[in-house]
Amino acid sequence: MVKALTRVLAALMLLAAASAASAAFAQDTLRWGYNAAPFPPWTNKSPAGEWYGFDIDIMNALCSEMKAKCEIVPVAWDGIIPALQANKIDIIWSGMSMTAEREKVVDFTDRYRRGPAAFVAPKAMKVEITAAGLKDKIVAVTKATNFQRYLEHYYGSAAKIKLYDTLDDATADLVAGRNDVVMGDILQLTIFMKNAPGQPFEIKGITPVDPILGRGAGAGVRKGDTVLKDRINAALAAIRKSGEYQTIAKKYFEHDPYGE
Amino acid sequence: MDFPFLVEMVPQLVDGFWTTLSLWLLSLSAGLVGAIFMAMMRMSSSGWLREPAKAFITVIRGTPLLIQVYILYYGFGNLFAQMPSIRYSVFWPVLREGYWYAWAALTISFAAYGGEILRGGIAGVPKGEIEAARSLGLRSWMTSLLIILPRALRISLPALGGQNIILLKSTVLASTITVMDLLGVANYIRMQTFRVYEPLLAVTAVFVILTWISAQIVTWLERRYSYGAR
Amino acid sequence: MQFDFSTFLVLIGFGPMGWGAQLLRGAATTIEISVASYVLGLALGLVGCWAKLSGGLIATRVAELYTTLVRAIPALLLIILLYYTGTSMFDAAMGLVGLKGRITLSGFATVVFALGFIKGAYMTEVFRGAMVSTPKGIHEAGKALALPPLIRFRLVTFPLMLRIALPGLGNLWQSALKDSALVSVVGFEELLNVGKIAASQTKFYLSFFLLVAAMFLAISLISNLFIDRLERRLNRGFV
Repeated sequence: MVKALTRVLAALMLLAAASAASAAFAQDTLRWGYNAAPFPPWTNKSPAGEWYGFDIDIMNALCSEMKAKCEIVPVAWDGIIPALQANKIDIIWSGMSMTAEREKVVDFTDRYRRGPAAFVAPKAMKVEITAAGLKDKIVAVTKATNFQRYLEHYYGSAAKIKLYDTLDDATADLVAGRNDVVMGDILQLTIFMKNAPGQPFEIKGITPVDPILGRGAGAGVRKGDTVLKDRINAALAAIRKSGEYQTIAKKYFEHDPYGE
Repeated sequence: MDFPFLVEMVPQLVDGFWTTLSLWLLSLSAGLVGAIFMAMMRMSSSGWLREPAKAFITVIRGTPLLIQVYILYYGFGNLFAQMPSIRYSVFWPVLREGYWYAWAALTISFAAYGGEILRGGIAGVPKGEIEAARSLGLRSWMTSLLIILPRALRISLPALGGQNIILLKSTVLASTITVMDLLGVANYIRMQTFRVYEPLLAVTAVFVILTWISAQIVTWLERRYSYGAR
Repeated sequence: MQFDFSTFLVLIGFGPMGWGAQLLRGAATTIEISVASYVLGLALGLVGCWAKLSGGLIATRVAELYTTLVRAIPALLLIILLYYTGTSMFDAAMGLVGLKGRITLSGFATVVFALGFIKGAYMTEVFRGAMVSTPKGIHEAGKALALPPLIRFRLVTFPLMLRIALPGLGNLWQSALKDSALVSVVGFEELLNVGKIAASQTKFYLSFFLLVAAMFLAISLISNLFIDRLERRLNRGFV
């Protein structure tokens, strides 16, 4: 019995070593890093386990334009830049805003979408989106975003800022009364307000153009990876020109998410 | 390692430190009381007390603490919000904070694990001592409170000390439900500065020190309350 | 919002709206990473135990540092740390053997490495404790028979040690299973992560988390049955 057990253990160890070796694969595909938490309509996960959404469609269009084999790698958002640097992914996708801060550690492609942020609060609540109006209000925002930076910069001393992993968690807590105002992507929040739990809420304000909010979202690549950056830029220009981008956008939105 | 940067982080980390410390000590004290109740239920002669306690301990020990935290915060927390009697009550300011859900999860967990440890301790109390107490005319509840419990606590002290360190380490789970404890602060700094190692290593150092201190306290307690040769 | 049981049944089912298949796949991943990290932990534990008991001074010190530190640091903190440093460490190691950039660690391997590294420290202690309590005479008997060290370990020490270590190893399996849920925090798709996504998409928070907890409990209870049987068999012939 003991002998059999030692044998099983030895076999298991060999198996683990082998699986670790096979899991370590030679790299010939482009690994697109996505926020592991879905952000509909940009990214979403079906019950069947498939990713879909605007960002996924654009990625697929870019990949077929580049004739590249692509793979989706979900990563926790707060670790997505280290994941890029640690060579776990090749591209940061899922709508990273291009800010001066991030440009110090990541190279960005051209913009592929841009939209303002909105502040959403209960219809019954009177609130002005100013430092005075937000005083002592609990304002929810997704962490590690430029929205968070914006909030801290302008309202940090007045409002109580609460950080969430996803906008879904933030709006769930808004519905549950655990925060007062949610700041987030306007298109996502519009969808939230269209559904039943979002009915009692409305937009109280929209952010103006601001350097903290960056110049829209682009794909992030490792510093100095100009080959990949140029490839993506060329493909992006091509799908804008061919109208494929606009076709995808119409599937999801009334307005062009590319921005002016 | 960037030392000026480390110094810059200190004030933020201090805030997180107090949160972690209070979460730890509050859940430890409540958890100890809970553990005593769990042990008493588990050893009760009534099946109505024994069996639910047994099932409860099995469930708590058989599932990850992180899920228990989520069940309390997202599950029950959202449920409470839908009950106007709770949402507009005086308790809501407490019931809307992630901190108290983390506290509840940690307390429950310590009560379950600690209860099993104490049960072993109670079983190890020499029969003679209990008989002696009874023959002195002590009532049953007084025997439990004055003789059995202190002795059982002493017997269980090393194991409870180990469980206490597990509790301390588990406080970081609070960071997953919007609490700015040490790990929450470290994650925040990490996101702001894109530096992975410095904030996490600073917090790691704090935990190593806290673990060491609490191990020392347990050793001191063991010596202080050792029976016999002294 | 009233809890609607029939809707929930559809949501956990296997139809186009159901998350059943995903949850099962998540459970399979959870078992995979738990088993793989457990086995890695066993290997590290044996090495650590050897280093502590019969290694040289440096090996002993390194092993002591390893077990002391890992057991003092919260697992979640270590997982985040190892998840990001693990790949860099692996790349550096590959650079040493001239394979830099040719082989990369997958997410699965990184997660297994992080979890296994933590378990290894606890395994070291369990094996060391068991080793210390094996009777001395038996090692000497093995030596007297002039068995080479590795064979002696395989035939004499290890089987004896295993019997003593088994309860500790059983507990560590349970904790390996539970610790595996922590990797959902770095975005790895195992059972809890699937449950989290399903919960936030369907808004059935409580129900989905309870279901995921029940699945963990089931895996834990079933594996308990196996461990008990194993323990009974190994203890046959001992009082």
